[in-house]
Amino acid sequence: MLESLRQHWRDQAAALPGNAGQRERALEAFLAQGLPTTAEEEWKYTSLAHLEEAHLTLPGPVDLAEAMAAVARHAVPGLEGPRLVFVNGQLIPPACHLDGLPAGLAIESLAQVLRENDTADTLDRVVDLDRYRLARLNTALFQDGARVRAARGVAGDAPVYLLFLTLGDAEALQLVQPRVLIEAAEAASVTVIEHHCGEGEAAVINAVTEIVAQPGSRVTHYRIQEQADSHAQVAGLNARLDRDAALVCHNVDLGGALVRNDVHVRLIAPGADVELNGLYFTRGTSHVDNHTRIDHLAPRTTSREDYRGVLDGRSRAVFNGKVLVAEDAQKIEAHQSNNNLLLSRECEVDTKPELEIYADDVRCSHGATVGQLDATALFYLRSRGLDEDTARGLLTFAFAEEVITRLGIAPLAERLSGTVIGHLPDSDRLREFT
Amino acid sequence: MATNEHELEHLVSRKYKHGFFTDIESDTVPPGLNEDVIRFISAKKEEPEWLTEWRLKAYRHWLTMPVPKWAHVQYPPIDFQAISYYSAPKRPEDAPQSLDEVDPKLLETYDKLGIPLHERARLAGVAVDAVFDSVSVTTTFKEKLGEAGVIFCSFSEAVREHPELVRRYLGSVVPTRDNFYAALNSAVFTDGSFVYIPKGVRCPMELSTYFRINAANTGQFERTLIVADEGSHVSYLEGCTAPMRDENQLHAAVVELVALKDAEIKYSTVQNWYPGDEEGRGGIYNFVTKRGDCRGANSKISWTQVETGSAITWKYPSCILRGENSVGEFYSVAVANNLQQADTGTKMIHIGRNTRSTIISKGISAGRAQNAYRGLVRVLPTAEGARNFTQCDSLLIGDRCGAHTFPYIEARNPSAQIEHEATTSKIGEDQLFYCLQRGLSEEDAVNMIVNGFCKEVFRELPMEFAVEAQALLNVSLEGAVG
Repeated sequence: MLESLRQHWRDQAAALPGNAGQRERALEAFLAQGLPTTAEEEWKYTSLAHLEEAHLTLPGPVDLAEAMAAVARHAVPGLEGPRLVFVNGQLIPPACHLDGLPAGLAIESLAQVLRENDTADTLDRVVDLDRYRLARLNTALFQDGARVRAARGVAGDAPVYLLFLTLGDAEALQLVQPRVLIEAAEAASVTVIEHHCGEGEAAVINAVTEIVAQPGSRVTHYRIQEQADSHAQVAGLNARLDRDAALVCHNVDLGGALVRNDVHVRLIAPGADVELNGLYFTRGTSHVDNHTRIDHLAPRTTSREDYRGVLDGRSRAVFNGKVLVAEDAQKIEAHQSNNNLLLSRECEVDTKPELEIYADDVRCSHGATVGQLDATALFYLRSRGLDEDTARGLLTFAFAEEVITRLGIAPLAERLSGTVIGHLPDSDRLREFT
Repeated sequence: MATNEHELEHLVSRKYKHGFFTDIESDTVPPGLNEDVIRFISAKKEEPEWLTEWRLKAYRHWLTMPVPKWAHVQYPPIDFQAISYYSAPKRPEDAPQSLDEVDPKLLETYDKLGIPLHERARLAGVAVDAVFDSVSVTTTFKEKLGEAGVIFCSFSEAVREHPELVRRYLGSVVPTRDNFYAALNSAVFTDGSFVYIPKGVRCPMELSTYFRINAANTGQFERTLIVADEGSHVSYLEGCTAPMRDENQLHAAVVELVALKDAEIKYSTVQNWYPGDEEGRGGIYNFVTKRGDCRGANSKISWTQVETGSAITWKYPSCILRGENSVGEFYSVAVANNLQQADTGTKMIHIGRNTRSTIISKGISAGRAQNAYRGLVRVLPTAEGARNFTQCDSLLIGDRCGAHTFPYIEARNPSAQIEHEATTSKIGEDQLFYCLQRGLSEEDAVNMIVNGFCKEVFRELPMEFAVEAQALLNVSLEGAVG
């Protein structure tokens, strides 16, 4: 893998937007350290070893008609408002619309931003590169992405829809690297939906998102992942919240063969608040790993986290949620929960909620459960005349729906409910009930 | 609260109560570790050839192992060549048979500790196998135990008298290659306790051992092996205090429990080794491997621990739930004050069907201490109907301490039901206010609240230990509030 990346750099450096020096440094630093291995605690349960040998290629130009047809198949219906569409990491202008944006809300192609006005702080502003090394690979070789900026006091109420579509190629294993930067200035609010989906042969997606929330701003972020069953996706979400800023992140994983999400939120000033909601539904032989980390670096910061998982087939899910409270960060409230529902005999879940606390005036809790459907609830439904499969399906759906109802955007919730039901046996029957 | 500061200062600065040093000539080998030292220990203890080889095998493997670094503790590297691996009170061949024969200086030591061994043993009906340094000096109530067929003796004696039992079970729970410190212990262990409860016997009394560390520069490497045969029951108590000292002392014990079909072992520990002074100087390094194997169906192993001492504690009493319907329990109170560091927890490995485990862990951090809970609950595909409940709560006293929770949960059976919950908070000001308003002093109020916080664990301790544990907790936290 490493040699192929160097080759790409030599071939394409000139074509990649932005500061070549910054990219080259990132590449060299990444290559010097290599991919994370299972010997590292943070990667204990998730192996990227198969990528070590893989010959990754950067995607070439996409066929517009093919791209437009794929977009039509995958885009969430009913989502009006601003939208940028990327297929295999490249912007598809005919599929985008940015009309009627409120003044002060800017949605741009990152490549264009870098070409026109490359300032040093466009990339790697928030991400902790030593902790999340894969971001360096993205910085080195990403082709395009989005920058969403809300100026001071601007209320960007309509959700900004960013569709990242990956079309796998049978001839080459493509490395697609979406990149998103969200900046909310003081008292601004902005909502961004990152929708990652794909089809076709195997591909590798390495996404990086950075969120900068200035004092008093509100950011709502969605990361919806519906990759093809052959795709591997790693994604890093890094956020920095200033005084009284609020961030809500929804993280939904319904596809992909190998998925790894790293969420790292830093609450750097008093009053900052973050809420993380997560749902993962793993099937077949898929492997989904969610690592979240919330750093309470200032007093009076709060966080809530609720991740739920449904596991079927021979799949495996990993959850690692860390809450760190720094010294002198008093008056902290942090709550976390992770609940897992095991549907099959061969699935496996590894969960590890962590607390690392260096202050005393705190109220922190976490809970984790692994279990099956409630026998009494099942019995109730059976006693009402439902057959076993339907009763199980309904209860499983209800378990997942708690996260979906929190999404708050009707077309999105409808789409995801549909996907979840589609994953359950006897889905036609279930649709009658929901 | 400021009014109490002077009083608190005074309490904080109080010296370790049990700090003293008994001057007994030791039969000590010079510091350093090599195969000759191991052969010397083995020869000194008149061990059979197989045990010497077993030790050497462990030693050779230990040489290849790296020092573990994963625990949430910090300490300077240990120079294993600077430690003396054998030290015995004089006259090792001439082990005393009764208290009268015990060196009066030893008895003096016990008196200082407030443990009138003979009286206490008789009054409480407890047989005490007191290990002073590395050789057992006294064993009481042997006859009564003998009537029931219970074997309770020092490890060296067990090697001599019951070699077949030792050979069969030694290392069967904690293999020599298990981890760095277990390998070291296997190579150089000097003595410890051995218990065998025959089939269907309910041990007529609670068994207990008092460990001491004495003689400067001596690491102590205890080896305890408890075997409960089918349908038997035993409750074992272990308690420790240690003389004051400046150099850090390494303690790397290994405890192995084997519970066969329908057997039950209850293992209780009160650990109060010297934690070091206010600046973190001195203090014991307590790197212990404790593991129980529920080998037979319906067996049960229960660990209860109250950890208040040691500069660094690194211990994870674990249960391997192999037998059907077997039960593992872990009840722990870990207190860290001043610059103490504790990284402790448990492992519950569910292998058999319908195995159940309960983990209740209460961590208390004060001063500048770091207290971590690290636990693993693993449910293997064979563990149909496995059940685990875990609760780990941390209480923080003071704004410079840390409390950490690292629970690993690995479930590979869909019928498993696992619940884990953890909370971290400080003593509520409303709780404190309520007590003060009822006329309690702040110190008493805190003690009461802390004892309430730990109640679930203390309830599991044998009566006399529960009293001792509460007193110990109060002493350990003296001056921590302000």
